[in-house]
Amino acid sequence: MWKQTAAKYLSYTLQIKKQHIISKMEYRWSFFVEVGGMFFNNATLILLWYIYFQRFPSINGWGFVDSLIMLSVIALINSFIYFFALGALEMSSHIYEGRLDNYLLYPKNVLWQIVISASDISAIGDFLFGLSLFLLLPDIGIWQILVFLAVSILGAIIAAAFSIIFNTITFFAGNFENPAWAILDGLMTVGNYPGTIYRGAMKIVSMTILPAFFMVTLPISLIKSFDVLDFVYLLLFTAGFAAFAVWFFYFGLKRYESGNLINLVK
Amino acid sequence: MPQSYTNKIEKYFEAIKIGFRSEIIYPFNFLSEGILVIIKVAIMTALYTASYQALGVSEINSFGVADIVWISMIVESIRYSIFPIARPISDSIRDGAFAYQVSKPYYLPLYILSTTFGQGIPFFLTNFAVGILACYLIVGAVNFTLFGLICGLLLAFFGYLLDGVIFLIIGMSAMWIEDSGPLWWIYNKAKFILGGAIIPIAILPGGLREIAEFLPFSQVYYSAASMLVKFDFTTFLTYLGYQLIWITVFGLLALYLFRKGVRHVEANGG
Repeated sequence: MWKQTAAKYLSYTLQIKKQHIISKMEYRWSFFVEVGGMFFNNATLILLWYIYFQRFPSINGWGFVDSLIMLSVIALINSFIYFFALGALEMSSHIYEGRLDNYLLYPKNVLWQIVISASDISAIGDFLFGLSLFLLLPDIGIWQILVFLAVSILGAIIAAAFSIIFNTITFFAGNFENPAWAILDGLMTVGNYPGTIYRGAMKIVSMTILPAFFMVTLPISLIKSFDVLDFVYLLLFTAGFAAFAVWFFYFGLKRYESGNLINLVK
Repeated sequence: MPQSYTNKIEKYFEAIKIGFRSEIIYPFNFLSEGILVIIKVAIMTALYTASYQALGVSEINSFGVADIVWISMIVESIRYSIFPIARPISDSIRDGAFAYQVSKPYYLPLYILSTTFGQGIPFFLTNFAVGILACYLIVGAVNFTLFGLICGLLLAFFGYLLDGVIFLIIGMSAMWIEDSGPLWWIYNKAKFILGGAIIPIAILPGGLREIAEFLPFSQVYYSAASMLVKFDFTTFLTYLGYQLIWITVFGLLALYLFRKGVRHVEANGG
């Protein structure tokens, strides 16, 4: 039963994403410029860490190669959330402008529809960059690639759940679009620096309020040296965090007020 | 000053007020940016404390951890206050609104710069106030001087102008390349890497430091931040000279592109 449901949702999601790509391909030059531009944009970060590690050889055991793994993981996480779950990041404006009616009328799960409702095509550039950089790293085999893909998917689920939680606050506080983006930026910013620098209060913050530890630091550690128990911890945290995001969204949805805007074509 | 000039200037002061008022009605928006500044101060403190400890030094080129964190805070406070005007300009060119806007009784580039300057004020004041408090509590005070403050604010103003003119050029490039988004990302990333927000230019190795100091990416905000934290009159004059060179170069380019571009834009009817 659940397999059939999962297959239906997968098929529905792929159809929506296919439509997003087709509509973007209408402006072909723009499509390739966006994808190539994002690839190059990410590649410049290699220069940042190269310059940094010319000055400081190592930070608490963290070196240049660790930063490259970090860049690959973050690029892949970004590619997944911006391609598959951009709707979760943009949810706040839909809520406070009362534009959820469409999703409430369709038979599929409301939250799922909102989450997959938008895509940023430049995410393809993120994906190509993340994957190609990772494949160019030393000592990479099939096992590392599988772990890399798995932990990046889990990281993307954490980021999407995080965004759903903070966008849901809109149901209670009104316009919360900028704060939701700012807090997501905060999570990404914490994740964009070597995990070994965090001590004391910052370590606690990175494991709780801004869970970059589970989104980036633990995944990097698993790629470098896989540990079953750590992987189980990561799975449990991701499942628990996502479940809380879903519950919180439906709790907030009870307070939804329609803007009486019906637009059948997105 | 003749009446006509006063009226012309007043229009842009009004645009600054409009921009300012349009943002202060959403306090959540600018207060939330303050959270990012606090996070950044905490991260930079952690990063440079660990990095300096790894090298076993307390200063590099006379810059300690506290100086670096303060400089980074000021750069980020300004960076988070800036409205990325390239994107709305690019969008308005693509959907035809630009052709309508150029017919208005103001000089469009100046109007855009003025409005976004006004929009950025509440963000900057919040970010700066929150950032000062965070820096003071986390790494302690640094020695501000009144002269350094005045010179730093002057460099910050010219830095804003330089950033705005570069954004205008990137936005107007949509007249020829359809989508200016990637140029905008790459410019932002260049500012991120060579703009002193992560690695202050002062601690870069010799040759690279000189190149980075001359480039416009560091002259946008780093020059102002470094003068506020560690004032030096000779360096101030050098930075001011670099800024004026870049403002002239990019200003002339923006003017050329604007004049050439308005002949090409079309309004989308409907």
